[in-house]
Amino acid sequence: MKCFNVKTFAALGGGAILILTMLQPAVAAGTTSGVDVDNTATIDYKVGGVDQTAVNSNLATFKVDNKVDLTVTSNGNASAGAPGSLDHVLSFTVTNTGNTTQGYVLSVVDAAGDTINMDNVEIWLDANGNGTFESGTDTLYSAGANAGDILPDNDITVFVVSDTPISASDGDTASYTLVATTLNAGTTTVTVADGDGDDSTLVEVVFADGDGSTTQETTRDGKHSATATYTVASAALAVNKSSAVIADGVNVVAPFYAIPGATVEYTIGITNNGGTAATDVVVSDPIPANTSFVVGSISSTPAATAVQYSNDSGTTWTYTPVADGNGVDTAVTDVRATFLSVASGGGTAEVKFQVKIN
Amino acid sequence: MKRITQFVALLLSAMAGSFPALASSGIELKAMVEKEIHIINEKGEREIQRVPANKVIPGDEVIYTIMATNVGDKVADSVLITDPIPDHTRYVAGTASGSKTDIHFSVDGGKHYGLPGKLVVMDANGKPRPAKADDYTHIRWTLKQPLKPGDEASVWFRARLN
Repeated sequence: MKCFNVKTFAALGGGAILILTMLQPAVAAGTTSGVDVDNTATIDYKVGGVDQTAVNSNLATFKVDNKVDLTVTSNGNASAGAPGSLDHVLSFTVTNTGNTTQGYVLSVVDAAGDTINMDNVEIWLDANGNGTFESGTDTLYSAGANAGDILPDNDITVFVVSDTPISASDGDTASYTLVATTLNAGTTTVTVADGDGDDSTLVEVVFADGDGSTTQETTRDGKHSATATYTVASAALAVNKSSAVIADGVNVVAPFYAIPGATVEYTIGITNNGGTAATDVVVSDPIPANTSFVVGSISSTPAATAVQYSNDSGTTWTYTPVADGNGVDTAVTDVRATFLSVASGGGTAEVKFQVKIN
Repeated sequence: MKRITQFVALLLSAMAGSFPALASSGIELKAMVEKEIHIINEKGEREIQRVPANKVIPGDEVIYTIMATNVGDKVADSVLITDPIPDHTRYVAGTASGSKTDIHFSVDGGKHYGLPGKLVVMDANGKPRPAKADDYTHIRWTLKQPLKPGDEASVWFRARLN
């Protein structure tokens, strides 16, 4: 374990001085349990000016005991995507900061202070150690199992994977605590701290873990935990509709009146106040009773990817309007426009169309 | 009663005789390793107790005590007690002590000794730098006075388990 770097150089005083630098291994977990730390002192002396044989002491020795220490850390909060979306991942790292190889049993607990619970909450083990959840490669953890022995100063990545309920709304949060409990290596037996019974010949177990600051564990209990939060990032669309009489066939200038033959323009505005863009947004509107659709009057901002018409109250959308002598098609029952995307954080889309009062 | 006492004395000397290395010399050297624990005593007060170093984990500090006894009948002089810093441990700065002793340290495995401020080691780039307590490999206590028959001298230091 120790590395000796020996260098010799001539000292200014004349004699050669051997300089030896001990490079201690950078191991946070410390000396491995079971190692015997031995020490023997020596005494040199003279009697009547004559060197005597040096005397060694007895061996003062102790055995390094098992320091049980672990940390669970969150690798960050995560988006829960849109309601109804699947396989959202919270990543955690479980590190053996003790000096002995240990197993770990894992559990995931719903934490307080959130607004919703996720569906199908599972624990997965990062089987290929690449830090990325892959359902085809990684291992679904079964409750109570040993997640795998971890050597001192080594760690594993653990994923909490869940689905977002369809009932969730933009901004909803769901928090989960991952708890790791120390097991005896290669078993599912929870490690127990030794009591006061000291035995210099045995490796005894001493809990030295900290408090993960969750409600699931405390200091020196062989457990550690961390909490992370999902946030639902959905679109939140607001719709606003207005109408204006833009001509009445009688008056040349405004104000115009809603009299038979008058043209009314409807404006439908969409605003996305959510945290995620809404895609494939379809704005549909029935033509009001006692009015007729003005053929060719639909406009949209930004340009719609499709404008469609129905002559059967929205059952089918394959009708092609044909203008009569008044420029209207009385067969049109509904109109709709499709937008590729409405941006998050206040993105807008607008549809205008005109009807004539019968 | 007196006979029993004599018998016990005989028995003790016989037991001592079972350690030939000690019996053949005029000086006996004992080493001991302990640790301190914090307890609450019966009065509810915090108290530090020294106990054998049986339960030790990385980061713990242990206390080494080395006791020399002149069990011979001649005065021992130029007495040097030398102790390597045990593997897996680091010397805790300023803890070596012993009454009427001069204390020197080595950073080269016990080949040379010097005072703490005078020791030099090479850094990672091969440049000399002042040695730190972590660099010490050995401690040497030089008794300023001869150890007369029946005298005891004790020295101490603390080390932290890596």
